[in-house]
Amino acid sequence: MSVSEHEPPAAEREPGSWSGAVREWAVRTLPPEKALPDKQPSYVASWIYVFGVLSLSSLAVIILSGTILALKGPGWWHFTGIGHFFNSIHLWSVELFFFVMVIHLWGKYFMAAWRGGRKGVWITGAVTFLVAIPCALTGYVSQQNFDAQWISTQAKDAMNAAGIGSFFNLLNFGQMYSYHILLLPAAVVAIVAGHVLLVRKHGVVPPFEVPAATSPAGREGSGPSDGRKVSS
Amino acid sequence: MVPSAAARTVLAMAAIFNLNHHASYAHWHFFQMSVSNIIVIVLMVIVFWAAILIKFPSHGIGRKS
Repeated sequence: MSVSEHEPPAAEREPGSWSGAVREWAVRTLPPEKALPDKQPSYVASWIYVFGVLSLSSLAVIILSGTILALKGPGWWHFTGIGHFFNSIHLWSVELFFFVMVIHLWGKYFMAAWRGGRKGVWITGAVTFLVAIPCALTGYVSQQNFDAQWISTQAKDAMNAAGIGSFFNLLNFGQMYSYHILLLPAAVVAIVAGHVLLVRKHGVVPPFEVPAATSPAGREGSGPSDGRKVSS
Repeated sequence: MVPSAAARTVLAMAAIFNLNHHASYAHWHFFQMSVSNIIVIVLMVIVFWAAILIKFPSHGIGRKS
C-alpha cells in the first residue's frame, strides 16, 4: 500500500481546513503500514531487541497500579493487605522498569542507535530515562512513612546545592505528590509515545554490517542487514 | 498460639532475607556503594550479555525469502 492511497484527492479537501492538513501530514509522515507493521526485519529476532517492549510493559503496570493507589490513598496502601500488594506491585514494576530500560539503553548505545537519521529516537529515549529519575524520587517521598521522610530530608540538600530547592521542594508533600502522580508521569508517557512513534517512522536500527570476509553469514550472502522480513 | 499460613510465609521470607540490620556497603578509596545496588548492577550486566548470547527462538529465521 503506498502513501498516496491514504491521501484524499486534493479536490476533496476543504480549503484552509487545518484538521485536513494535519491529517494529511500525519498520514504522509507515518502511514498506517509503518505505524502498525505486521513484519519486522530478520535482525530483530534477538533477545536484545526485547528490552524496549519490556520497558513499555513495565510502564503500563506502573501507570495502572499507580492509578489504583491514587484512587485509594495512603491509609489503604499502608494498612490493608490488598493495599500492601498494590504498593508492592507499583514499587517492583518501577524497579523492573529501570532494570530493563538500562539494558535497553546499553544495547542501543553499543549498536549506535542514532544512526540512519534516528537521533530523535536516541534523544527521546535518553530524555525519558532522565525524566523517569525524578518521577521515581517523588514517588519515594510520597510514600507517607519514615522512609519518605528520611529520603526527602536527605535529597533536599542535593536540590539546594543544585540551586533548584525553591522550585522543587522535597519537604513540600503536596508539590511532590502533584509532580509524582500528574506532571512527571504525563511527561514520561508523552515522551515515550513520541519515542515509539519515531521508532515506527524510522524503523528499528539495524546491527552494524559485518565484513563479508570475516562473517560466515556474510559469506553465505545472508548477513543480518540483508533486509529479510519475518512475521512479528 | 499457632501462626497463620500468611504469618508462616512472612517468617520464612524473613529467615531468607533478614533486613533487620544496617545496609552493607562496599568501600574502596573514593568508591562506596551498597551491596544491594552492586548485586542489581551485576544482574543487569549478566542479563545484558545473556540477551546477546542466547539464541532467540526462531520463527522462520534462516529461511531465505
